[in-house]
Amino acid sequence: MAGRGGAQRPNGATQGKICQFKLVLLGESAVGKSSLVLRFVKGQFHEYQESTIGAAFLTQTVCLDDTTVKFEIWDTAGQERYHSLAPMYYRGAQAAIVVYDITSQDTFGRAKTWVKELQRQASPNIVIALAGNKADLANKRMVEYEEAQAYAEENSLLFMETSAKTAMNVNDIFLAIAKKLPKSDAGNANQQRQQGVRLNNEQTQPSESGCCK
Amino acid sequence: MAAEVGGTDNEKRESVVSIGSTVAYSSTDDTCLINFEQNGDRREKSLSDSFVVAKCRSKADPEGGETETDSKLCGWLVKYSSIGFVKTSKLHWFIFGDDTCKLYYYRQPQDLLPLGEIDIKHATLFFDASNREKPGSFEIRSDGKVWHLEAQNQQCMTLWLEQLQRKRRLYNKRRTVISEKITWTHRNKQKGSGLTGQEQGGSAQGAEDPLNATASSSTDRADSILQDDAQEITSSSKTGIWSLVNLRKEIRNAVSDIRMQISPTQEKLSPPHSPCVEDAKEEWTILTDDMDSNNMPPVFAAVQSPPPLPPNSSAALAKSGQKTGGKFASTFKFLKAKSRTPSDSKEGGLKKQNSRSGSLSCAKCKQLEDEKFSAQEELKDVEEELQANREIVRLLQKELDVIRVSLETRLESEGKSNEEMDLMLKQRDKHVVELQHSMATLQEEKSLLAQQSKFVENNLTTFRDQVSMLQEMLSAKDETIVQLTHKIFEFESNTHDRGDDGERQHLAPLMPSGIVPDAKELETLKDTVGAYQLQNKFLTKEITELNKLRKYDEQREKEMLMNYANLEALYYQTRSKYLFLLNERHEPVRGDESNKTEEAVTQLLQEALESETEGGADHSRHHFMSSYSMEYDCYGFLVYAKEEETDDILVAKANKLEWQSHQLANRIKDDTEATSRQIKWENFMVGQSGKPLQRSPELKALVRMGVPHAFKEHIWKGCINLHVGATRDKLGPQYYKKDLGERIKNSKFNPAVKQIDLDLLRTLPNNRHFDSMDSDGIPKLRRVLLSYSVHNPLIGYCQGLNRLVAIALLFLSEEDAFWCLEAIIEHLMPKDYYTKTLASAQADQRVLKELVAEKLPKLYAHFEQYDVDLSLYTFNWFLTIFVDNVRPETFLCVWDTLLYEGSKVLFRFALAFLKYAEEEILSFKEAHQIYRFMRALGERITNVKKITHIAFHELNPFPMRAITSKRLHHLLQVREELKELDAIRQDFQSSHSQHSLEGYASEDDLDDVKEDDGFLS
Repeated sequence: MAGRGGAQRPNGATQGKICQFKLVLLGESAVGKSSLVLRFVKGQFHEYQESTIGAAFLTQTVCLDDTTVKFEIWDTAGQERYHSLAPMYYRGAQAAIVVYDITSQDTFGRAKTWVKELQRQASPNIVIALAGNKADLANKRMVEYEEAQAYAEENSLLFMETSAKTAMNVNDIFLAIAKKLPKSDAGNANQQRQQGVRLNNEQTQPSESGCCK
Repeated sequence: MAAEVGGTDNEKRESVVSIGSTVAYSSTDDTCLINFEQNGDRREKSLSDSFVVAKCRSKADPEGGETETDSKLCGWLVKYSSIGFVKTSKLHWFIFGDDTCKLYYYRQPQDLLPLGEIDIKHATLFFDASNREKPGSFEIRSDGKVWHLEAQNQQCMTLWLEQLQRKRRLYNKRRTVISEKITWTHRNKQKGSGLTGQEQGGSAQGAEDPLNATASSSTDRADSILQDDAQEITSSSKTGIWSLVNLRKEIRNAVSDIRMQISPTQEKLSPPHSPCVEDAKEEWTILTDDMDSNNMPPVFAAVQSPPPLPPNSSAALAKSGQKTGGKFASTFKFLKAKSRTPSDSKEGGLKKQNSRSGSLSCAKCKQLEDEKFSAQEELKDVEEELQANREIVRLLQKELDVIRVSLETRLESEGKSNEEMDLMLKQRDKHVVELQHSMATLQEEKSLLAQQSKFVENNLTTFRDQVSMLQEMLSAKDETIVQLTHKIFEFESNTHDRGDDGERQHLAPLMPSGIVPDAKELETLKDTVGAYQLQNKFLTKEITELNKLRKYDEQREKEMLMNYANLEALYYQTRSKYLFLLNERHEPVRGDESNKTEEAVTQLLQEALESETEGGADHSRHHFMSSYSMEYDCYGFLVYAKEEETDDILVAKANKLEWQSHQLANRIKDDTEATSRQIKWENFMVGQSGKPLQRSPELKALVRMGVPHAFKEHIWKGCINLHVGATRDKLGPQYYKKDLGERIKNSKFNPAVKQIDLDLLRTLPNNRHFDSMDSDGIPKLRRVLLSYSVHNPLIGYCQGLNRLVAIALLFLSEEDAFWCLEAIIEHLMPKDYYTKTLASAQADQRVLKELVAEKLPKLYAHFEQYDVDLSLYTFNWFLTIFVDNVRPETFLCVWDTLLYEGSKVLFRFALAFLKYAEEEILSFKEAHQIYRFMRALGERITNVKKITHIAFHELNPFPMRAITSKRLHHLLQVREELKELDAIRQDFQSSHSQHSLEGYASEDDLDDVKEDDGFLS
């Protein structure tokens, strides 16, 4: 994998920035959070993905021009009951994907609550993306694209309708997030991450972790 | 002890068949010898607990044992053992384990662990018929050891031996058949009520049925042979009796002949006869009478006949003799039925000879008799002659009278004419002279005859003397005959004794007055003969049995050799390929040849990839290998579900093969240990049968070794009932099936339903019992979860519970799975583990962190250094009891111990996992590497044995008190924090709800409503 970071690579030709970002997926149960991650990370899709309990952790690297962006993906459990664990996961995250199911209005409502919570509780500059999953089930659509689009714009969120099953927009949404994330040079990225995490561990007040610029 | 075993001879035959869910084991019941537990019935009614126990008490008839082909063999036996010079004998409870073909013995039937075991598989059985003091003792020789055992009596012993033989044969047969089909470890005889049990039972049934059929047919055949034997023996014994009877008749005839010869003379002469003769005669009457009525050997009758009595009471004696003989006949009637040995007929032959020699000695006597007869006849003749002479004299006198009358008339007429008278007188004188002359001659003749008569008389007296002398001689001869007969009997018993080694009896001193043979002695001798016959029969059977066993073994060996040869061939094939490949690689590539090499290599690769399918086709032969190439494991999990980043088929294949070889190597390595574990469990289960589970140190240790698949249901159910038994009883048997079902129907809106339905197929997607809506486990899972949500509305449904139920359903019935969930949530886990806030679960993570700091300080520091939050991984482990990316073998081990010991084992195992991988984790110098590793940690743990060792030994001490106090401390903290978080959320939710387009009720809000309902009800 990436070893100890690009800065230490002896080969100057491929030297590019390596950024590591912590990304968290939130959303109602069974909207397809884990499936999105699985599609993105392994390119696989299982009709019935084991329900996530607590959280799952995966990594994936994407290349943006000369920058290598490495995602640490925290896939959380959707059931309301696990809500109380969520802060543990979104704490210190630089990005979040809030997922809803386009065939269920409830899940969209839930997504909104998550956005709200992230905006208040997570890092202030967190990049939040809204994903309307299960776009392949358009015939059962309950949440209109426009409605979600409007909400996303209102809250300055990235928005895409995705389908883990068909892989539609899956990579795109991650790439879009990667693009939007602030990238400094490689050494900084590493430092940043560590600093960020440490800060988050020490103090839960997100307002004080203003290092992600 | 001896009294307990000995028992009484005339115990009533009694067989009790009790049907019910409980078995009454009465340890005090010393007559209870053999218990039969029908497994057949049990298998049929797998879902109900009922099974049949047939107890055959006392002299359990062997037929009963034969008909119950699938019975459990158990009973009390005395075990003799000698430690050094000290010999001890103890009464133990013996149980035969059908699965292991071993005889286990316990101090009491209730005991959990046996004192020891005897391997019957290769044992030879033996009993010594000459050991008459302990008729029930027998020996089992196995593994170079000899076990001396003793049953209550001989019947029991033979029953034990027969049963052991039969079981041994069945086991070996089964082993031979099974070795062709499935490996023994995968054999699962019992059909469990869990999902895996059903499946296994189903698949195993097909394989077993023909097996049972052949086994039973073989026993049938053996039985029929046995019966034939028995018939033969009875018939032969019958002929023995017949010949004996005939012989006796002969003897009797001979004796009565003698008597007949004697009696006429006695009647005729009737002098005072000697009492000796009289007695002898009387004796014989008794004997012959007895023989007539009973066909009894004279010895028995003689025992009862009183000592010689004076002649006047001889008639009474004869009568009483008859009577007592009759009585005797009824008492010893069974003896008649007893089989006779050929030696009996020999005795008969001897007897006959002796009787002949007796009659020979009589020939002399007969000669004398003849002489006597001729003398008597002569005497008679003489007397007759005498009589005739007298007659003549009388006639002459009459004539004289007539002449005198005529003379008188002549005198009257003389007056008429003298001349005439003179003439007449002359004539008359002449006549008188003539008459006188004739008279004189007659007189002369008479005196001669008188002389003659006198002579004859003299002659007669001499003859009479002679006769009396002969008579005396005869009586003397009689006596000698009697003595000789007596001697014959003694000689008989003597020869009998000679046949008996060591048990030679003393010759009873000759009794002059009559025959009083030792009946008891004869009886014991006959018993001994019977015992020897039995032994002989048994040993012959044993030999044939052993031969059969050897045949089975040979068959097995041949198969194994075949398998071995095949595998070896395969191995060499692969090796040659490998060498070829190496060769190709080593050779320098020369232009055009590179293509050729590549071609060869690709061909080899192709072959390597195809080899798997070949192996699949050869399923039956390579059972050992193929059991690992199956798609699903014994729990229904996909074996190769988790294929990590498979870029290349070849790499995937290599990984797969590596894993396989690893498994195989492990299995071979652990094989002995696994079998010893299996045996320990079987021992335990054999003693357990039917009783409710009880906590004990032995069981604890056993559970920590892991509960074998076959016994999981029983043990889990037992553990669950330890916790929820009382609740279950209180709520009644209909609670789950009826009450909750109705409550589900009646509840209008259950917020849990939606989440449950969403999760059904997301529970264990890799398990074939839960992989589609049609799978057998899904409806059960749904019902259990729904039932629980109405049973405990405070918890309702929490993601993770679905996995718990699914795992429980693999081994337990639906209802038991429900109670398993209840036990876990309410009793095993701390309170508040699955409730809305998961407070206790969160607190446990902090407890774990502290424990890591305590027990694994290096690792703790490492995690701190790289900011790794352990709870990200461990939280799932705790909440789902390790059913989260952990191999089934591993998490089932956690389940076993958790169900028995409680939630402390979660910490033990979590720490053990970390300790197991400590070195590796410490080697990572990057956070994401640690994350990655930690994610896959659960799957890496394959060495269950090592993990349990770490968990239960290396991590000690592990005091519960410390954990409890830590839990309490952190729970309070977590609650505090949760309150804060809740406040913040409430705050923004209230502001948010103003913005929201439509109000929507969250699941937990609804839960809250439900909670209130629940409390109210």
